[in-house]
Amino acid sequence: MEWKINGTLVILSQLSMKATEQSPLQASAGLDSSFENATPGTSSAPAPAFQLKASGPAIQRIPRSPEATPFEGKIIPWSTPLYERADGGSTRLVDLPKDHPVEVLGGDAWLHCKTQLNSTTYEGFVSHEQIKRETSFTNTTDTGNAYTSDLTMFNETFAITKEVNFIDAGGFGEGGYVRLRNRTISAISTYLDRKYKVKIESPGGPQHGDGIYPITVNVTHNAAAPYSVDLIGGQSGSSFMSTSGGDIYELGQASETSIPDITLAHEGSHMVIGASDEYANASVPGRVLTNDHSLMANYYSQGVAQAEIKARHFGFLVNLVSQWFPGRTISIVQ
Amino acid sequence: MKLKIFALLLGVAALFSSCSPPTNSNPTASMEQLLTTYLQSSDSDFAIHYHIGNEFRGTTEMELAGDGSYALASTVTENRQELKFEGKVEPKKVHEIAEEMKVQALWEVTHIRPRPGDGEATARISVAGQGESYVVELWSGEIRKVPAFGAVQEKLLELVRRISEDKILEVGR
Repeated sequence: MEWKINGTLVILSQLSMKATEQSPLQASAGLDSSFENATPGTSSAPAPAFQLKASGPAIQRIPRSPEATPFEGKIIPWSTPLYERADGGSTRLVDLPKDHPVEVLGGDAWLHCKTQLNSTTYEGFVSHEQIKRETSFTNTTDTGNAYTSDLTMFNETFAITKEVNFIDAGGFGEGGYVRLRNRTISAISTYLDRKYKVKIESPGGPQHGDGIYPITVNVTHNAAAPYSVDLIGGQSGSSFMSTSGGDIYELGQASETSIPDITLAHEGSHMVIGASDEYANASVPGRVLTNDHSLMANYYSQGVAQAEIKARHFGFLVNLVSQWFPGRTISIVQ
Repeated sequence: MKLKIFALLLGVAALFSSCSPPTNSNPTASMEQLLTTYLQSSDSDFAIHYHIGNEFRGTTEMELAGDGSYALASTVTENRQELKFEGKVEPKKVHEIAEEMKVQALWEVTHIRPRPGDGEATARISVAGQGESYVVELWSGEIRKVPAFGAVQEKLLELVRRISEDKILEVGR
């Protein structure tokens, strides 16, 4: 692959860097990634181990014996018990609901956890199969708009997810709002889901956890989500995204009759992974311009059919994943 | 007349270059005063400038002088090919647009967000005359939430459509 940064042609077979360094690509492209709730890692801390299976469905659980503790986990099923001891026959202290956050302190199979529920602090044990590891991350584009999504480590994938409140702003024909909402979600998946993988390698020889993990991207509609996007029916206009929300016009730009899937995916790339635009804009003089058929560039002039999300757009994951695998070499590969 | 239009354009361009960061820079009372003077005297030393867009969505730009002379260019067209028009409309039309600016108190328009969104175009309406020029600016996503700007812009777009015989498809959003 190749692309231009500030007029210099860069040719790469993959994005690759040591886990403890900032990606030069990320720095060059002006990508600013930061994250919340990530477990701070040190180069001497052992990497969290989790089983890499060659096939089979992704299992939403963390390793049986997670390392690099403590970290924040979340409950996977609708409800799961917190036991007093590392024994399913011991006293049930409380039932923890789906997505409830717990601080994982350590453990083997039965994970030692601390959590608060209804203003009461509990400490006990939860089966490792009932907890997933998740962090939110915030990427800021070159316009200064910041977008937050979640990253979850599963057995076989790294999953980027975002809940969005798609608001019916009016103007739609019958069923039009739901169609546009579904099209938006589907287009983001088509252009971003499983296009690249995170590769984890150990410099001194293979370690538990090394492997190649597809990056999944999934947006869901949730009327209670803090991030909202207005879907505007029956009108043309320039769709956009910002820190506080976005607009999507059903009819696309003025020269179109319907917003194309590629534009839905383009806008989705802003709001889900915080990708910056790559076309000229006088209001953003320092912008990195590209001419390699990027989904974030001017695909109207470069070609709609060839446009695609690029490895560099997932470069922020190198820093994020390195927090969970300190000392390893993390790269984004196709 | 063309020279006059270009001189006014230069004035507007100079104004834009001095607007950093791009926020509303209009000393509000002054724009109001300029409009009032023009509406009372119909002085031909008056021009309206409208610009919206970026490379991705296309741009539309119109310069309209007090005597009705105009220069219009847009890439918001069926094939994204630039179309240009020059000519003259009845001065009454310019007067109507200036009147709308005054009715809507265009000088009071301000951004409602601290920065443009990703993909948002900038829309600017400015007036120039008597050696002064004043501009108001919104980002495209703000326009539907700022009716005063939208009303003035719609008057301008009516003229754009009329001049281009609907070949320019600009919707101002």
